[in-house]
Amino acid sequence: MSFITQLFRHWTYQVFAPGSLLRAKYNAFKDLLRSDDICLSLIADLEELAYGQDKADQARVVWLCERLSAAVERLVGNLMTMSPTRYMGLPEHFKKIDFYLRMALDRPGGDIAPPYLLSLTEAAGRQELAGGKAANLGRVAVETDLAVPPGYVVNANAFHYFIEAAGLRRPLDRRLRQIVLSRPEDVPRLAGELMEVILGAEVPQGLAAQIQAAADELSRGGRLLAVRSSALAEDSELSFAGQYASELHVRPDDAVESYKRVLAGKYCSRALVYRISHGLSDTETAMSVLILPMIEPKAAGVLYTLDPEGCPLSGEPEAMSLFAVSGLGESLVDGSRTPRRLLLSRRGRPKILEACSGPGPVPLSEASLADLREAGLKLETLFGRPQDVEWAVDAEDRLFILQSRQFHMDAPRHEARSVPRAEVLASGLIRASGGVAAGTVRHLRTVGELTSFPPGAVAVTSTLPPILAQFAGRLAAVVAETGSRASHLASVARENGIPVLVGPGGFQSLPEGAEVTVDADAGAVYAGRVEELLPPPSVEGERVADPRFARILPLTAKLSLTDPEAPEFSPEGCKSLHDMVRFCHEKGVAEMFSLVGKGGRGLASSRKLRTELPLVLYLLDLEDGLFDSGRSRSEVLPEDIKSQPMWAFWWGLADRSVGWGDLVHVDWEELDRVSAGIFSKNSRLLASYAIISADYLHCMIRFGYHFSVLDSVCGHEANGNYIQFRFKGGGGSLEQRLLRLEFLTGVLTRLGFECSTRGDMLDAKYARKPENDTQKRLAALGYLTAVTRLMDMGLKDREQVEGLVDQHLRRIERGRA
Amino acid sequence: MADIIVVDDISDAGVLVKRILERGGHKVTAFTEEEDALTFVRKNKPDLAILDMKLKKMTGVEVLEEIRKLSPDTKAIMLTGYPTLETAREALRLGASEYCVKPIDKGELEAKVAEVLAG
Repeated sequence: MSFITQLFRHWTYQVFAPGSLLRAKYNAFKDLLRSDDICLSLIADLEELAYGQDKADQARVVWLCERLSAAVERLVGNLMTMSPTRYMGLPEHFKKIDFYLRMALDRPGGDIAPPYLLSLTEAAGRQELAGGKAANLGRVAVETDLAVPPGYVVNANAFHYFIEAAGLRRPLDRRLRQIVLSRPEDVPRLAGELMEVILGAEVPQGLAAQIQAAADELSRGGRLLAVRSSALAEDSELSFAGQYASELHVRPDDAVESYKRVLAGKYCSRALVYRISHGLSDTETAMSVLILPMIEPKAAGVLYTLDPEGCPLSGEPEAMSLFAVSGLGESLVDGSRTPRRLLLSRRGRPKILEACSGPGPVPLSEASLADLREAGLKLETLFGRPQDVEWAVDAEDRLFILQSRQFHMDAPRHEARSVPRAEVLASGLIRASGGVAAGTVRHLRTVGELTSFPPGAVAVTSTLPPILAQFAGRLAAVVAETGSRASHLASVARENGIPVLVGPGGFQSLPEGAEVTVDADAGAVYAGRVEELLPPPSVEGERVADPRFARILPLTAKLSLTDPEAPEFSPEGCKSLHDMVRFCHEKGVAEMFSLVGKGGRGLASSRKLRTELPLVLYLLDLEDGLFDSGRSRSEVLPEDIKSQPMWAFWWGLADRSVGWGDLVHVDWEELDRVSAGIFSKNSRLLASYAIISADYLHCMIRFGYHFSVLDSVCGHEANGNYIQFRFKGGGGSLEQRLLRLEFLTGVLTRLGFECSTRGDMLDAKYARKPENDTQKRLAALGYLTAVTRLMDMGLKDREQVEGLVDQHLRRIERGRA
Repeated sequence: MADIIVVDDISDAGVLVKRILERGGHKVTAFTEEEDALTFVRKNKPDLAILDMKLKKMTGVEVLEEIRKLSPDTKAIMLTGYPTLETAREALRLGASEYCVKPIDKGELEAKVAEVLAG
């Protein structure tokens, strides 16, 4: 719907059909809460990838960003529906951030310009086009006198051209984006489908003809072919050793199909996992394919020009390691045959230092051994570092180099994590943000206490309020009784490398002031500082984001709008999609909160609640808030209430222990002002109102000289639940009114609300908790609303307030009658 | 501080950019006419040109191409109210260093100008 139409509808409804406007606002708000939840989950997913807690293909990153953008657009639309004029700049700023994000995600597709075939000589040194294997072999052919078989490279542009011409990018991406390394069980199925996509496609005719021509040329004289992978990142900094497929003994008429099978090998499970775990994209690892004639060797094998194990028997510190088998070398590389292993001297006269493993005679002449040693040294000089060389010697004792790549020392072994001996204070908690940190336990009961927190505290909280994010710099870790990884706070924590655990029992198991170590990765909290778990000081507290996310994160997950009171808390202040989510949620709740003006406008179709209690309360049912029995009557009975939050609130309000007296509770201030008693006490202008649906309650209660507004969602989805309660005014002196607020704050804080007061106004929030807990708080609010209605008049001092807090808490804890 | 030109067919937008950047100590000249801007570039070879994508007779991308001929060292930041990936790619291909989407945000503009001048 266009903006103008929406605005027009807004005004029209405001004037003519207030009930419909409320309904539209309410529906938009419900949708806003759903979108908010989706957005936060997507942000959490993105951050897990950005901070290396999980790994996935680049296609997933793009897909997550696109979904996030769409969800935020919907969220913005919801807020605009709720209030078409108040947040004018919002859609515009969304478009701006969305565009920057699309720019950041925009990667050049692969180059598809011909030529598609290169001779080995042309491929020399052109790693970006021919892949590491072919580029290196080309250099050997061009820059040394070592023999290399003639060959052709079907280059990376050919790969891109094939993918493009056959329309494979989308089907590939659709599967690639589903691969997440933390779910390895899905990989084989997806790998199978990906390979099927390649194998089922047609190589473009022109390209197929060129491959065929090259195959015919190389197979002259009846030779068979070797078709080998030479992927773009292969044999560079990363070896990809053994990740891709090669085919031997290929008949020339099978060359094009063989080319396709080698391409498909790019998507086998192990190659996918290797590539993704090293953070490379599908396009970055385009597959070139090397076609060589087969050499029928007398012997073949591998040569490490510098074996790090050295030569323990002869005492020589450095040696070359030669592995040889008779016949083809493939059986050696794939591990199916045990080779002879010889250690050759690197310096002085060529000699065998040691003949290690393997049975039978060495299948090489002394001259060939000397050739190999010589070749190894030349290749080392050519590439400037120790090499891992594949070689073959033919029947005429001629040595051929088949491949030369950097020799990779063993990667440092990851030590198995030992279980610390420290006392376990809590375990089985859920990780919302990973990492390990130690600090002193501080129980956080009200947000105000945060300012007095010492740096490096381990905050123990009942929930994960977004406001904690502002104090991220002071927190070592957070343990919350409820909350999830899909929360703003968890998001900020991940960015700052602050471990966050969620699970019940934190307040009991973690004593105030105790030194503890929070191991979010293990879901446990230990007593004391467990040094063996803690990261070395240099990396403590900072989490390095994957560099591929450098441009994406500031536009998506980074949250800078944390303080709703700050002047930057505006559409213009939104720098990321996360900021927009925070803004829309905050303002959406605020819009809902201001749904009923003090005049109660817009409630014309509401119905009065018939009750023996001396109060006047009108109900407006938006959707499924009343049982069928109550729908037809003009007056509604309390038992007609189906709305979960309304029923809970009413339960507390109607508590028999309250002692109501017979004063009808209306807005006396308004009554004094407008009529000096002329208005009927049943006047709608002065009554209390509740807007309800099955899981929603917006209630404005006017008792005497004070009013309170309650806004709540209470349903099965804990993440969508919240209570917002505002209490203002009173007939007593300011001091008495403040004492009453103190009483309310005391009780509500101990019930898990976050409270803040300004003047004689109290704001209390309780959010993202399970249905049952939320219901109990609503009933408590009902009870408190009833007992506090005239309390201020009788309050004298703080001591009295403290006594009342304990008294009423006991009453609430005992369970409502 | 740098010598910067701003070319925008709407003079208000140009003036806004000029104000923001002058506060940062830069020397800024704003133009609404492409020809005037190009004459200035030929003579003064400014450090940076901030170009709106939609101008009176030419597009910002065309002006960018001209500027590259007249003064290859002049850097460029494109401005647009209606961004598309295609024009953005084209501008970057032709040597624009950055891209700013309207409405202009002071902090964003300052940061991008500083970054482009430093690089």
